[in-house]
Amino acid sequence: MTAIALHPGAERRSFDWIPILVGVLTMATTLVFLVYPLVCAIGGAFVPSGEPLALENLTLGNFERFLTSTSYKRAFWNSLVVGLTATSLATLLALPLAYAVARVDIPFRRAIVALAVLPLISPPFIGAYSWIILLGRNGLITRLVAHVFDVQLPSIYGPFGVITALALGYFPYVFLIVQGALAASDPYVEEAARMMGASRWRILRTITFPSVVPAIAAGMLIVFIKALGDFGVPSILGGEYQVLPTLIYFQIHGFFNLNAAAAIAMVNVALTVGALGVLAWVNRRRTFATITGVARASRRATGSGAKLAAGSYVAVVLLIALLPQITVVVSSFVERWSGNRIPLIWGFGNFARVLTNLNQPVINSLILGGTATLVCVVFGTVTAYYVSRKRFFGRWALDLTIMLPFVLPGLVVGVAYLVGFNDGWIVLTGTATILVLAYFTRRAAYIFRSVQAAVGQIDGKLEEASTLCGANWATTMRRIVVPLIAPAILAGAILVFATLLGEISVTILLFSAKWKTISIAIYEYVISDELHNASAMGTVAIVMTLVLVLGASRLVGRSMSEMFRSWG
Amino acid sequence: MKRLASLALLGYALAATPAFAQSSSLVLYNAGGLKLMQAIVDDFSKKNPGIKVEVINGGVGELITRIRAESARARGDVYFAASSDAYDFALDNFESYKSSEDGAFDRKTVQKDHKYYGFSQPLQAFVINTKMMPLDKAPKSWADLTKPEYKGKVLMAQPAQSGSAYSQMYQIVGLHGWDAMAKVIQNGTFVTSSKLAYANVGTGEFPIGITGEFNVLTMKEEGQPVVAIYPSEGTGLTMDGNGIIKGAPNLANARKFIDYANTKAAHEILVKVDNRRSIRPDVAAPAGLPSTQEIKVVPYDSVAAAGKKKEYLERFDKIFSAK
Repeated sequence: MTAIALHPGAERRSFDWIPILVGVLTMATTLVFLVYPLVCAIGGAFVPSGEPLALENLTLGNFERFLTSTSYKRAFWNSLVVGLTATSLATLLALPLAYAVARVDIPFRRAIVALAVLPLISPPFIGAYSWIILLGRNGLITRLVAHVFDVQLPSIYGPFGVITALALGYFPYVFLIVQGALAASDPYVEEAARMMGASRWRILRTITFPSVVPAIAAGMLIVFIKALGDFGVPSILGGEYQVLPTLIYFQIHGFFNLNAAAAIAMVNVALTVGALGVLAWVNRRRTFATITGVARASRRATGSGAKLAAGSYVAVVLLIALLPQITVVVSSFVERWSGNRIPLIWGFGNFARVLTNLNQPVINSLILGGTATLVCVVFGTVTAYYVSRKRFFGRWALDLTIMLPFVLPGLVVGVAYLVGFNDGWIVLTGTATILVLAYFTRRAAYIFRSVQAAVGQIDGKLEEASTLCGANWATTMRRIVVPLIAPAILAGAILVFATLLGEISVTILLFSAKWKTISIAIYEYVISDELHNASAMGTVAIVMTLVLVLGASRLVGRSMSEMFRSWG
Repeated sequence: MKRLASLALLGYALAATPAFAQSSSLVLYNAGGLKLMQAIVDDFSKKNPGIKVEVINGGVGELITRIRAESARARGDVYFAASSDAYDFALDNFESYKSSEDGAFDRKTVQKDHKYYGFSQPLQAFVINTKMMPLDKAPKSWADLTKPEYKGKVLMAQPAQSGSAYSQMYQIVGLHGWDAMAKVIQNGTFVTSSKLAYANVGTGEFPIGITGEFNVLTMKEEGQPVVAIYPSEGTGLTMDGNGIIKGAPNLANARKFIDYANTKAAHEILVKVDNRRSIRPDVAAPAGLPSTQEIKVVPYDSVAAAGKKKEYLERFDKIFSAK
């Protein structure tokens, strides 16, 4: 024992094959399932429609329209405006919410965080359509306001509606991440400031806020990417207002011009890379507080005034943000609701009708989503650990490769997978594997980012100490690293799983009759004009998410706040 | 960590078991909605008990994207209830087959190489919300849509996205030229979802929409205050059809299905279940829809329409973006 401690790793390290195996597996997975389809998808942007990807075919012709066509220029501008405004609005909504939940002693905090995950799983089509039922020209709220206050609300069609719906749909990303960071940040500095007589506002401005800036930036980035890539909301609420995803949809489903679609997607990516640059710049100017092990939780305000104010704000924001989900649940109990704003017949008929079509999609979604989440957890954790701890050539390339599929519109990734794995050396179309892999590709970034941030907060000396004591790599990971980053992994996993339940853009191209998911079942009812059945199916998805999220936090016995703490 | 990894591998192994194709199966790519598909599949299965039918449901655009992306190795057998312009746009992706029912069809309703057979006739009509617009004020002809009084009141789908919206535009341009179409573009609101073009009229968001007639009938039956008006210049005989996908893995079964879908019995199911007009001359129109003798219909040349699609859409885009 003494000998080993004196000559660390001399003999043991040569037997430690696990890191090598993990490295090789990671690289192989990255090359086959991330790099290969991505090269296909992105490469297409630079060759003319229908031509093979070859050096002599390279052109910038697909981008020409951004210079010549007014509607392309306008869509580019609209996307930028929508992305930036929705992100700012989401952040403005989320920050007070995060502060209220993390720093004020309000009741039901675990339930609040679980409910805040729900806007992220808006069922396809019916989620956005709910806004028309509520706020359309003839909507419930519009008519109520006109009747009671004699005020005509502005039309929701166009940028106003799109931005509002996107901000309300995506603010949970900022909220979850920031409240986690707030709950976990070191309380001693703030207490010191208070003892020296600093005012509450001064502490908030000069200590609390700066310490969570990286978390805010990370949340804003996700919202920006999501808002920029969203097709559903602009297609329903946009009216004639077009954004880049609507153009991509036209090019693929209208003309099967994959090359033009890839070019538009690249412009989308360029906008995001710009945002990533800003994020990196913001982070570089900060020094990170290091969590060394156990930190005491921050103090929560207990004054009744603070509790009342914080509680009401949380209630109001959640109520508004959950309006689409509430509408879906309410209309799932309505059997006839047309030509009239008041439901005609109530009952359980919708649930009875979807019952025969319920089992298989629910089971499939659980299997596909669960497996994809597990793959994301393993792959995301390992790669994030390596990227944070080891210096190796091409680190930035790995980082970018994992982020890209998250940034690219789902439709583009879906087509790349369909074309890439339909024939040739790996045939996967029609199987569950292709869905799992596509999900994995699209969501690995959640776990990767989450764990990367968490590992960055752990002092490397803990692992060195473990190695010095003779533990091999696997033991160090299992006993030291994983327990410390477990909340970050779990937080990422919850987001991956919950958002996969509603995933439609990739699924619609890759699902097979045997592997129909719950989101496809909803969509089938939507295209068949059976909106009430779609609502019943959507309600099932909503309830499933709520149960799973609450169950996860109970199972681990940690508060959700803690799980999301390391996203900054 | 290790336990997690082995769990993931196990999940993989379970999920990766491929769905191996049985010779006794048939894969439908269905663009016609659940109700119609279920009724047709039930009847077909009763008559062909040995064939197991699998269905992929989706929109016309999503399914044609799938078919083209899978063209190196087809996964589906039959494209069911899709608009004819989707076939004409991608004829190379479909297989010729002369059905046993060929004689019962008007020549204009069968693709000349027998790549698809007409199924339903979704005639395009105006849908009017009578609570928002009295019938005597409503537009009566395609030409009426150019009038300034309808500015901001007409809801249409983007022709680049919706096959039926493209056929509406093709008809207006054919009848009255691009000057008239430019005025319609000024008057209309062009949404990116063809579903909204009628759903939002039913719920009172807009007074006028343009859509397939059966949507109006279905909305009426649900109690929404809508009526259909057929344009007086005549509405084009657009159609939905069924065809075999090139390289269909279950070709023999696909042929059996096309033969079945072309029968009078199958077309009667179409009329009964979905309020749609059958293309077969010997099948009566659904109750609630006028017969083609009562309204003016004009031929619709879907091949010519498909040929002009790129040019027309670019022209539309130019006028639309200058709005």
